[in-house]
Amino acid sequence: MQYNLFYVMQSILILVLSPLFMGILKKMKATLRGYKGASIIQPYYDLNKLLKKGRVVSNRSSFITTIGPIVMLATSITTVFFVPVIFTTMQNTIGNLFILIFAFAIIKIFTVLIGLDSSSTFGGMGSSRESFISMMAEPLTLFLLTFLYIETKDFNLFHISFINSNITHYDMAHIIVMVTFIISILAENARIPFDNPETHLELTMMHEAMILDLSGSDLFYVELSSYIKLIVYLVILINGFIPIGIATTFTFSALLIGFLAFVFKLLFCLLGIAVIETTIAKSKLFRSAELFPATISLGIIAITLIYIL
Amino acid sequence: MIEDLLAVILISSIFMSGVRRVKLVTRVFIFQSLAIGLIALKLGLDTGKMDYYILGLLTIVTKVIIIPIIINKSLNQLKVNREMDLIVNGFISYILTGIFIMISFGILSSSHDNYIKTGIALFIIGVLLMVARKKAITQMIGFLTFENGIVLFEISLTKMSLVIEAGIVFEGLLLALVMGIMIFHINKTFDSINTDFFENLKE
Repeated sequence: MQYNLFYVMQSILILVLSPLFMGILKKMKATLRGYKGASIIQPYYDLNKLLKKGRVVSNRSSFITTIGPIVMLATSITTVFFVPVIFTTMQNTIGNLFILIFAFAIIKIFTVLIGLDSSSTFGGMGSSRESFISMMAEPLTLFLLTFLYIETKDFNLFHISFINSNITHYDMAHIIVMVTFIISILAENARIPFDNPETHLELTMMHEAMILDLSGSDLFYVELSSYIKLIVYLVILINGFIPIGIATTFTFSALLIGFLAFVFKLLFCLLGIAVIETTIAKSKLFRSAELFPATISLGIIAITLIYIL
Repeated sequence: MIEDLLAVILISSIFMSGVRRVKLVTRVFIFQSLAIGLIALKLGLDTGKMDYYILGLLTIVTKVIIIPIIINKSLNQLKVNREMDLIVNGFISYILTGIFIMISFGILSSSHDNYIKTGIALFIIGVLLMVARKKAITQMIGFLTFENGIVLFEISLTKMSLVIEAGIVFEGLLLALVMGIMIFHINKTFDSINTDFFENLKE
């Protein structure tokens, strides 16, 4: 209870820095491809430009388009406060994994509804593709949840992080689930083997197709919420599966080590995403769906292993 | 460390069972063999036995360097890149592989030796690749996966003479060489490396 203020502060840190991390990701991709790229604070300028503009809403759209973007942003801001960043203890009441997963489901369903709402062709197409992918990504997430519960006997992400930070050597099941979760991150955040976040080519886009009709401040809400969502997923990966170095005592040196370890791991994850996105091409929709049986069987194996070993 | 490498082997075996592009399967196979070689080297470092070092080096030299070169060479000659009509499709082979690994770990749950379990899982996946694919080159990779399983299985046994270990590794190498030439001739005779066309050979 006594550290509540610090929890809020570390979550606000993530909230404020998430566009910066996206800028770093874009810069990494540009460097890997061999061109100069925009500066790493470019996302702040983009968001500022969007925020200054007014909103234009199609006269065919209903109240969903009016409230959708702000609900998405609000939900993603809520999720930030449910994850540990650089400090965790065992005495924490919020942080249940189920709330996180269902909050992400809220974001997803509002994206799909916004796509359908403005009755444009691309929106409907994007929504159907998004539902198709998420239909197979959801069971995967449940497998991962089950695994984390069996491993630590706890649903609270703060407690999971605390318990896992004591592990010195990871067993087979843990690593298999980590790989599965990385694929699940790519699927949930519309990254490359599933969807290209940069393109506006009508044949390939999924996430961009759904928000094609939004502009101005609505687009600002949706963009910021997608940035936050990616960073929160990466934070779950970092602090749920590899929480080495996270601060478990409230001292200055521990917090400093925790902060440095967190930034290092996050940059490493972003580099991994950048490498994946520059080396792999976006696969066909039905071919990318073939990746899910692989990950689901990896989840089955991991759960079997943790039961047996 | 060893657990991590075993996890790499299991993950690679899953992806190997369903991927269609032959070059990708070969690349995953390289990863798997590298992991097995590193396991042998690590065991050699831990126990100080010469056998493990030799086995690890032989595995890495043959399966990471020589056999992929042979496979890539015959792929370039044949201009075959992907496996089109599978007998068991990608979806089902992924799930089957998962179930097989689950069963092999479940049956052997009383033993605390992970090499035997992973080895037997690799046996089954190798056999699945041999049965469920039509192209001769993928079937060869299936057999080599089976060989990898034998190497893992053999690591777990207390003592096997070095002659047998070397024999197993060289058998794989020889198989790859022979199959490389065979596949070339199959392609010349039937204009395809689909093993279905072997039925035409009967009167």
